[in-house]
Amino acid sequence: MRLPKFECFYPKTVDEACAFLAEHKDQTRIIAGGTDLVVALKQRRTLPQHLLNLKSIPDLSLISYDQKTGLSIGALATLDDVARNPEIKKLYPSLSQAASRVAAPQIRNKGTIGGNVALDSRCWYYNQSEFWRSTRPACFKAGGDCCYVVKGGKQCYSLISADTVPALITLDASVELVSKAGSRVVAVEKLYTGIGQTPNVIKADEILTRVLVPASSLKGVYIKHAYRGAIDFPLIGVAVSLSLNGGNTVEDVRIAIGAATPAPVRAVKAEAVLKGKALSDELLAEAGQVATKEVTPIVHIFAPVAYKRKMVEVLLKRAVGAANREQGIGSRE
Amino acid sequence: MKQLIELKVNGEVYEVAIESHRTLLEVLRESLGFVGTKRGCDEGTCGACTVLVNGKPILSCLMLATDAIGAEIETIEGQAITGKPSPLQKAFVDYGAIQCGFCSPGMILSAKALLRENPKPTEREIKEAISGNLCRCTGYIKIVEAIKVAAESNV
Repeated sequence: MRLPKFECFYPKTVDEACAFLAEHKDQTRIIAGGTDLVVALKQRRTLPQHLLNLKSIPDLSLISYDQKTGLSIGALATLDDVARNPEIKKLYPSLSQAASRVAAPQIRNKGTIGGNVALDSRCWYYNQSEFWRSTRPACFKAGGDCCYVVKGGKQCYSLISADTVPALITLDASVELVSKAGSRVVAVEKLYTGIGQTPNVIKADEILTRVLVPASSLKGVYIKHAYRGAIDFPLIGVAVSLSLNGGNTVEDVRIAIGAATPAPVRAVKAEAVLKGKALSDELLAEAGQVATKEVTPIVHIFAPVAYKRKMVEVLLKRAVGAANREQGIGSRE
Repeated sequence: MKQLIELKVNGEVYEVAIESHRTLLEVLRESLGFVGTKRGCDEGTCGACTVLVNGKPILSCLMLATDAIGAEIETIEGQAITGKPSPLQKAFVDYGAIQCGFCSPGMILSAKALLRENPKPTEREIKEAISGNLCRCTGYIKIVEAIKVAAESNV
């Protein structure tokens, strides 16, 4: 497939990029690694006049850690850089795990953390070639007025399927968004709308420049459930961050479930079940049950809703068990 | 609008006039004649278009050619040493890791990047390194064997 025609602008600084975007925001798409956008262009799902290529801005891929301020990851750091960074591996293992499970090595060498966080929502009905789509009626995302995946659906239910997002939510991470008007910091947990056509709150004139993770984040794990070990997007991704109070009593816990629903879900009720209690098989079973009621999974072409719902429970139990082991205290699954 | 760019492929610099919307794969195959780099799915799933950019395997079908300016690009054509197959290529032939050959350039380049960084990989590390390269002749066992042998013979 050929790419559609566009002009590619390489800014030298973030300011220059913002100025370009302020002028051309309606006809521009931002490109970093391009592993998601180039496919969208080939499939004619987006037809911008301009690409704003952030690759030419130096220092946008820096990763730095400070004991007080925490971790700062430049938006252009590749997923491979994030997965292998020794400090991230040691202090934020769930983020390292999530980055290391994205797609395949070739994609991780090019795809960026900023791109993963700002990844377009996905749906098996819409993420198809132009030819495939031309044989079917247009869904919401293609400008139609009906969802052909969720029967009677009143909106687009495309899914945020990024692996790093659940991990970042449990790490209390945020993103820095910069525009000509200034900059703002938005928590990753508040970044997603749950509406398929406009999946995140990043404005057309804003550039995601950094991902920020506090130093005080709890350690945790990320578990990806997908049909194949490589290449596939997750059917469900579960991240858990945990701290234990002596023995195996849960002091604090954060749980996020991605890819099952249009926006990632923070499972606060399941967290409440676990908090302050000693971990046991019964408690994990209860938390898993509660979590399934917090998530309303969207059907996948190969995975019915009931299966996804059951897997939320199973994966949550596995993830809390693994997070427990990660703490090096206690020994129960 | 066409622009004149320089691409460094297998150690040689080529000057080529291209438009912004050309992928590295298209420029390698169509403008420079490096047809050893295969076009498979053309949307970043199969790994047939894998080339090394600054030593790292990437998918050339998803890379804008202008993004490769100033980078060291390696393709399968650059693997032979003074006209003879590299030890990795030889191992692929000796161990029957090639059937139709379509995935081989990508497989060999993914393996090369692995062995450069990790000369003694475990079987698991080999499988992970080629996890983004699909082979539809079902030759994975032979491919893993070939990479193991190439690693043992100190490529």
